[in-house]
Amino acid sequence: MSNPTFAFPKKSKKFLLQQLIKLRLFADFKKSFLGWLWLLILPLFAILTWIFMKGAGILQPGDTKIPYTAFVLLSTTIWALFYDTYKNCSQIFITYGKTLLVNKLPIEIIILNELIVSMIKFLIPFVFIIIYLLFIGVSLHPLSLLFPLVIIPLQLFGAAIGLLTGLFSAIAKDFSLFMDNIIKLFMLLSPVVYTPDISTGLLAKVIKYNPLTYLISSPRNILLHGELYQPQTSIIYFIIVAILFILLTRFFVINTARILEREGVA
Amino acid sequence: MFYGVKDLTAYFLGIKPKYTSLRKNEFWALQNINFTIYENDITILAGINGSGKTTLTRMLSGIYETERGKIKYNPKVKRVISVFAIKSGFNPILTGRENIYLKASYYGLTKEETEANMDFIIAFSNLTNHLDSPLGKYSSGMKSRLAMSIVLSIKSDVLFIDEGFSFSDTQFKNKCYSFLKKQYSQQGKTLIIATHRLTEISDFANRLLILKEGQLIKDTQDVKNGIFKYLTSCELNE
Repeated sequence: MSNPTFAFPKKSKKFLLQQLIKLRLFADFKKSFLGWLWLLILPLFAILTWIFMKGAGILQPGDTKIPYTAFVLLSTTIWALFYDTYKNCSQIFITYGKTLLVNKLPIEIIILNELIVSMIKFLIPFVFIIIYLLFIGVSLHPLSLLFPLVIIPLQLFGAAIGLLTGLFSAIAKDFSLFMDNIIKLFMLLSPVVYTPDISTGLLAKVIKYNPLTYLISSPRNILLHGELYQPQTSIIYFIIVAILFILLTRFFVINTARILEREGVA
Repeated sequence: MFYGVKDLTAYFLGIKPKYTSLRKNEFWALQNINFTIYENDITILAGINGSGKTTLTRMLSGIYETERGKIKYNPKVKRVISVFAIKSGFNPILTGRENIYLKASYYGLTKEETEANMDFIIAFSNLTNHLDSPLGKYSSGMKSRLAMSIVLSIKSDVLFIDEGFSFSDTQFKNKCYSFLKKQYSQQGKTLIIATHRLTEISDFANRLLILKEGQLIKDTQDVKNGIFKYLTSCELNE
């Protein structure tokens, strides 16, 4: 089936991508009173929970160097990029299944669309957080300009896991139910609301071998201190994640037609 | 479900699943199908529900892959458009105009091509006064009119239509048939319509393919006689 007739016109891919981005952003906010404000309100709810837990003494976050509110605000926003990308990619067959059954669309454009939409949804609260950090007197390191480069591996990791989950959960929902809960658990097992320097037995070991430790701590560190968290290990994880993303994207693209034909869509 | 997980795991591990015969509860959606469609052909694809019309059309348009066998296109074919579930892909929150851009992008058009087609779409659908209202407020027939007008505005070499006229009123349907006849007869193009409404298009089709249980049981150019025999046999079977 390598007939060029089936290839989506290259010159039309940009237009398709624009339309998909518009659709995804519109669909979420067009029928809402508060619209884009939800992008700020939802993280605020999460932050209040963590501040309450710290205030009640349930959580010992370690030395965060900056006010805990600012630390948790920044970290949960970074985590949200990972989680949203995972979720969007894992739901491609749910979001686009019916469209893919009736149109021969380039899957790589749909994946790219999910990455861009997740990034836009991340950037809006992120800009406000930066303003807040500056307002409370937290200074940003000049190397924080590298932040966009350092955050991308985290997003690619979310996409890679999401794509794999999406393929398998198109066959059996158990996979997405299982992975959704694993990811939620990993928010607690990753240094999101505490620092990676915490050293309490088993958790310290989990943190050490958890790739999210490096993928989350490095962008946060580059922003606040101008350095990667454990640079050598972080760079190794960046490379592994990039390769994983390329392989799983290819795997997803190749198997989409087969999944649609064999399993249909929900 | 089990086979799906098993096969996908095998593909993930880089192993191509090996099976020479069908497994329990599996069936061939299409089998032993071999035909050639020529330019200027206007073909009706007929068969009862579940006979394989949609699967075949999806394979021909590249949405499904063939497990075995080949589909070959003449290299001079540059654009293939396929229409399934005519109203799918629309978004009720967006306006009619915004949906034209959206749907056109699904068909592989550029923004410029879409804008060049806009006047035709508005005129053909006769929805000028509703174009900037949310599509959610359109009736089912209005959505069909808009969707079909978008499809007909695209200059394609091969056009597949799978039950595209189910929701259209007779007047609009006749307008579409007349347009299709003009555009696809003797213009070096090809039109394939999968439908149950055989008599409606028997006048301008020159080819009839009938599928039964995934197999091609009839391929004839005597369309009217073929339809008559097919409908008679359907009645007898009932």
